[in-house]
Amino acid sequence: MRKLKLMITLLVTVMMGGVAFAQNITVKGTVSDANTGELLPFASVQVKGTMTGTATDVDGNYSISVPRDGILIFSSIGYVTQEVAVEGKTTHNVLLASDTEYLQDVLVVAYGTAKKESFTGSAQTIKSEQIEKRTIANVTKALDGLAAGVQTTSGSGQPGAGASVRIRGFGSLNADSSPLYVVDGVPYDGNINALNPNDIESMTIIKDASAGALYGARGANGVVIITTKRGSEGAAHVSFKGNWGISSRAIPRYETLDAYQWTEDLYYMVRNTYLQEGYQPSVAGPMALADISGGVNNVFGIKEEYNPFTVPAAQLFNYETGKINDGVGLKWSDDWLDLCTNPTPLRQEYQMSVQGGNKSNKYMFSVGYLNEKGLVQYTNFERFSGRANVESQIVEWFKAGLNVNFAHNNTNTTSLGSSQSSSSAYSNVFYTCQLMAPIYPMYMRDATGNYILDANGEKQYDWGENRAAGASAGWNPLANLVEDKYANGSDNLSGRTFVEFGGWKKGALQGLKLSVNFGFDLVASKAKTYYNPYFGNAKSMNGLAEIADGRTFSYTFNQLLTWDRHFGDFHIDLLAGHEAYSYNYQYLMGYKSGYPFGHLYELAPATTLQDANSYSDNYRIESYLTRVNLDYADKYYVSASYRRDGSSRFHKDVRWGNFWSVGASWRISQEGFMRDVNWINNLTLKASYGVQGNDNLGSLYAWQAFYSLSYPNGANPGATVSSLESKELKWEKNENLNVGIEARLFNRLSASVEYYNRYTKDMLMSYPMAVSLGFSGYDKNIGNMQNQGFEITLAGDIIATQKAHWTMTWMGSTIKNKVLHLADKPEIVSGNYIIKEGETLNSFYLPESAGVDPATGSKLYWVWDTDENGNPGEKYITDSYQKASTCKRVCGSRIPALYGSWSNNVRIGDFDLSVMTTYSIGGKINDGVYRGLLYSTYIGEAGHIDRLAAWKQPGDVTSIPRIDLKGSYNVALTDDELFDASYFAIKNITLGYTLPQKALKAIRFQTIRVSVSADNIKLFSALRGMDPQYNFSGGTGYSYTPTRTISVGLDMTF
Amino acid sequence: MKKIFAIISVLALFTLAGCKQEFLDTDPTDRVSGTAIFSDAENAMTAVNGLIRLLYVGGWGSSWGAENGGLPAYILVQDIKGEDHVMDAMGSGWFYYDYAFDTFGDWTGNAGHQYQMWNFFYTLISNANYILANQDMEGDENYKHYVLGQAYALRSFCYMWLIQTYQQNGAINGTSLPGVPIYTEPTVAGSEGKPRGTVQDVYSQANADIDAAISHLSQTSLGQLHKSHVSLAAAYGIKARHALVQHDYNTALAAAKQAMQGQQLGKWDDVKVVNDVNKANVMWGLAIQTDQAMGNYDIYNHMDADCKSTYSKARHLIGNWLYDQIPDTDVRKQWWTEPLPEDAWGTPGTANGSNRSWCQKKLVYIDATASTGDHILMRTEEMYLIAAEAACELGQFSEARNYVAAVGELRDSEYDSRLASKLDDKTLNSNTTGSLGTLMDEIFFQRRVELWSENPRLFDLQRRGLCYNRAWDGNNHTKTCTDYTSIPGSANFILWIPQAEFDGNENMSAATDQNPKQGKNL
Repeated sequence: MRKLKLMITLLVTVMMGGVAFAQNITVKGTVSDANTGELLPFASVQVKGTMTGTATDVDGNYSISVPRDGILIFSSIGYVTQEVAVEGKTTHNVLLASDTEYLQDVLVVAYGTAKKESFTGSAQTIKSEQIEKRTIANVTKALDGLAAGVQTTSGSGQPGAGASVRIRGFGSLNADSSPLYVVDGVPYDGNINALNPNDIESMTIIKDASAGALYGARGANGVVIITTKRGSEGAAHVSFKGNWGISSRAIPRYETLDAYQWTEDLYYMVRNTYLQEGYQPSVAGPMALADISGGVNNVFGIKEEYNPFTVPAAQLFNYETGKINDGVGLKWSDDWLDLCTNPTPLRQEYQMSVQGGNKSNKYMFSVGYLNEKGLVQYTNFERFSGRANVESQIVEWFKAGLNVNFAHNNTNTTSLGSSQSSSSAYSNVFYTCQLMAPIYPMYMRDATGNYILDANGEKQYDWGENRAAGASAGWNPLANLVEDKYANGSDNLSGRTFVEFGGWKKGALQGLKLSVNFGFDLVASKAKTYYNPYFGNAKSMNGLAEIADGRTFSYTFNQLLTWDRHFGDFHIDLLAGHEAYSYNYQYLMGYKSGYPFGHLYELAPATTLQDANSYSDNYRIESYLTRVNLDYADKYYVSASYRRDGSSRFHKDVRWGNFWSVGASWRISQEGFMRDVNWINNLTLKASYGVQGNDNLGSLYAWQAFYSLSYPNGANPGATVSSLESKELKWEKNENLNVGIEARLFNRLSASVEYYNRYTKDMLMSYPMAVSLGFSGYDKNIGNMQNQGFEITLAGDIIATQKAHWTMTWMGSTIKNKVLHLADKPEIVSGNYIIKEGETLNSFYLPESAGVDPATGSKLYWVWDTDENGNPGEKYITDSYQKASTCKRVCGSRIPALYGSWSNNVRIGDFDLSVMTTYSIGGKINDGVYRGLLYSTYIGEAGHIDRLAAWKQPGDVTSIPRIDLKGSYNVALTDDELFDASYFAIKNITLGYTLPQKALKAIRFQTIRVSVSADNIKLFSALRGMDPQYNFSGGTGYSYTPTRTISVGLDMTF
Repeated sequence: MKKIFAIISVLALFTLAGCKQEFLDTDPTDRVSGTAIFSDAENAMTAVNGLIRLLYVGGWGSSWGAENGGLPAYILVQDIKGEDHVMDAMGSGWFYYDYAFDTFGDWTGNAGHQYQMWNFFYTLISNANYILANQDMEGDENYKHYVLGQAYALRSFCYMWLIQTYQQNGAINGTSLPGVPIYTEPTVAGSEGKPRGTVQDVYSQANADIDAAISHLSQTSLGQLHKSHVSLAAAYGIKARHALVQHDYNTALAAAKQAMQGQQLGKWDDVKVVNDVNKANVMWGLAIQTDQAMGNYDIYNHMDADCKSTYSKARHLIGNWLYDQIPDTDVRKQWWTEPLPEDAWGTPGTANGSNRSWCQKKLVYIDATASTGDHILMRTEEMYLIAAEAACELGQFSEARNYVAAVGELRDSEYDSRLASKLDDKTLNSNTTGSLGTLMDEIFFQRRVELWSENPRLFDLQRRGLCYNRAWDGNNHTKTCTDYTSIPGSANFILWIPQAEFDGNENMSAATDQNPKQGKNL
């Protein structure tokens, strides 16, 4: 209560501009850096013994009302706090000495912080300014291009959805390769999109063992440490942030055939099929026409109700040329994807935060609201969030803190859900609309092409019961969006608390601290799926609704003892601790069918219980950990860590594993012999090696053999064998070497070059078994894999003057991935991919093309026969796709040769501009969506314009074979159909303007900044429509297309 | 200072005592160990019921669930490849590609029927093997025999389905052709795949298993606890079916006679729609209860033309040649819509979808809203028809006539005179849409009508070494596939073994163990 009063007083004080107290005078002045003379913005100025305070403006000026005999306290992060007696003077220009401890960048690392220069590992920090520029709801989407060695997917365009992240290549085969997310010191089990990006102070990407081994069994694929904003000593700041934007497609659409081209193409296709079946051309042509206008394929419906042309089918074609007759018009032309798209989806975001504190209490609290409408109509994401971080130094030796986050999320999706999954569900707009042939109407039309209106004069959806098979007969995706519901909601509560004892500056116990941390994540989520009773999925059941409730509660409880002491030039920092982690998940689901009418989304009104189910899961880890950091004279640093983890996922005989690391760094620039080399500000050489683990095998009970009880037969309980026992099963291990050099030259250019070599062993594989054994495989630690590469970051101040500043940053990373060993089976083939010893993970494995036969239009392949000993014979050419599918070879993978980013930050006067771009060079993509459009498998699907270049008649020389009704079915995917995965993307341009100080003073604000930002602006790639960042294995899918957002923002602090 | 030490000591103690050994022992709540299941024979019924439940769940491959709803779906797949079953439209494509003999390329993936059927039957077999590994389970002997009997019967059933699906008939093409791998031990981590062996190996295993099942089921007094369980009679029925496949007509006749003991034939009321296990003539069937319904995976969602499902738009018809052979005096003609003028047809996918010439109404939902309707796996009528066929083969024509008449008379008011016109001859017309002159022709005609889409037509064609021609004059087929079906024992009549099997089986190779090439006139 007292604190609240204080805060209100504080707020009022600040807002009133510091109401004069008796005998007060106004003191003005500047605060600047004692070394460089640079003026310091946002330095705190406080009247000693009161809560009165202010902060310097962007130019380092302050003005404060203070008692004539008062004392002012000046402080700023990174500087030594200074007290100045007013002594009646109205001007005090203060120079603050830099605090060397702070001047160096501080990294948040495992179980603590580290000075950047002393850090022996590999980590990279992304600051709040970089995150806040991106108009994103999910912070995983901010990682792209901001850290070397980090790859991300584009992520779904579904509002609220995130991106997948890989750090330093692909460390696992069957186990999860995602990094571990740690929020405020504790592994995070909540939804990433429950974190308000505006609350994030920094994100540290932990890449090597020295930095990550303390995360033991969960750190093998890197760690992303998220630290949220805290209060700092000094006057309170209240800031408000508003952002308003409009979204659109970030990637253009594939180019498809129009109604004329499509119909002519269909004619060829049907005719080709008859020719293939042996009919003479004179017969095949008319037969093809008959098929188009009716027949089993229903292309124009049953009674030509879907003939969009102004003439009947019989009069449509010139039989000789196969072209649609001149003068034939269109009765309608509906673009389904456009009709399902929201033309101007609005994104609005508001955030208010307050932060401040004094020597003993620091606080930050914020509330935020985000409402993001999706490109697809009726899809959206809404988040109400709040956070409070409080830290209190109660007495010299006792400190405690609480850090709470709450978020309520609501999402409406298409049937895709919020993950970036592709689905061929009809209710997936990106499947149904993208593949809808251009002849079909969205709304019911009469024979003349006019809308058939209902009794209320409204347009009626065309369900297309008589559309062709490939045209989603019986479905209307727009009606689906209106009538069905795919909604998710979640309540997220996360807490991080600590108590800390010790920390004396003097005496025998100096440097000794015991801290006890408890952190929890609670997520209560509800997923609703509802199918309307009128058409679509549940027409025959009169509607269906499924409601699934999930509840996750996890906690981490640890006790850490640290000892941090200086002995002359020698510094020791010791950590020892114990940790327990527990995860509990509870699931409850029910679904019912039989609704009296539509728009009833709960189970109550439905008649028939279709299914109900519940279960719960537990997962636990217990750990002992220790670390020692030693350094001497700021020159030599050595660190070592060790963690012992026991994981409940494994059998008790093998569940304990040891993870460790050693690292060292040498600051060459601190050596005596370097003292005269003035142009080198810093030069550090470092190396680390260690072992990390990965226990995320998918199953929480991976080793155990079970009967699943989910198979009742009528009223009789039933169980089936669901898993095989594998007692030896244990975590994967990652042996991780990192060597790096860091330099700062001419006080302008920073460079960092690192080499890494990650060696995964005991790699978990679903060891393939004969399907006839009843199991397709079982989990086994068997393979070895290697990822190695270089990461280079160069950052330079091209202009650095008082008035203008231009920083350019370039990052480049390489990955070389190689599967080294796969047990008894040297290769695993999975569709078009192969995992093979000596090759890159998920290499494409395809037949070799021999072009298209100009005589027949058939696709040709290079093949060979295999003799009885399994030796391949001489290669020859065939048109048999069945044969081709047995003669495949490795032909590249998605992994690029080089990828990274190039970004610029410019400040001129009160304007600031930043441009962020990313690039990727090399790698290959199998664009399945393109291929689906090229070789439409089902009649009634849209076609890519490249079909126009397909083989038509003997003599045609082309790379696209004859296409018949069987589509791609009988055309094997070959090596030459892969696209280059290289791309260049302009990710973000932000232009900001900060109001000059004079103007602000008048209205008593500290800062006001307005900005215009464009996110996901432009992509240059090998094929229009293709998303080269769809996934890590080089595929594409019918998923929610990524979005571009143009927004304006307003930031105010007072 | 003392206070601090006290606090630190307490915390340190708490730390050390924090985690007990059990902290890391976690178990799921929806699964149990095999030890618990087989602790006694009565508990082991759980494994039997699970095994049977697998017959009517989907999810046997990576996708295409809608055409992989367990055994009922596979019966449809193997029926629709014959000449008596027509799809009038492609619909959403489900089953149509099987009908059109256009699934050859699917063997490389895990979504096609090559993979899903293989995986389905072998998953059942592995579950049966786990049960059979507990021969000496504790508890009530009645339950023990019952449990073992079920497991043997289902394993036998599965092996015979596999060999008929993945290889030509042994009695026609020789039993030394490659078979399918045989497993009788429970699968453990590290188990190795078996080689193909021969057709004879598979027949022998199926025969031995069904004999073991009969032996165990004879020793239990529990009878048939649930219609989905294999009763002693149903076990004899399976044995009779197996014998027909192997052309062992003496066994077939004897087993069919055993099977029909105590069973009742179904009157028209019992079979007007064939979807209720509670009918007296049902020997074995899958009872579908609402919360275990298969939704879109259920073949009734595809076949019930009036259920308003999006998949029911592709209507399932009887071949009009067979329809025309059914006399007007035969009530079974009502199983299919009479020929209607096209303008009287109902719209596909609506409540009057079955108003379409030849549309089937025999295999439909009981309650479409609840997605319920049972799947009948064996009826008494089939036992009579097996006995008739076997007796006819053995030259016991009058006995054969009695058996076929027992069924025919229940359906056709003029059956006696129809039967009287047939010659006592065991020859079957090799033109399957030709004249029906002999007693054997008549027995097969009854099979084709009575068991339409219940017993796979393709299996009958295969065991008889027949091919067929869908392109009869005025045929109602939408795909005739004459190039694929005009040779007896065509390579197109059997499935390829899925790529995934070769990928995981050290003892089989795609280069040497795959079935012959498929395609036109093969």
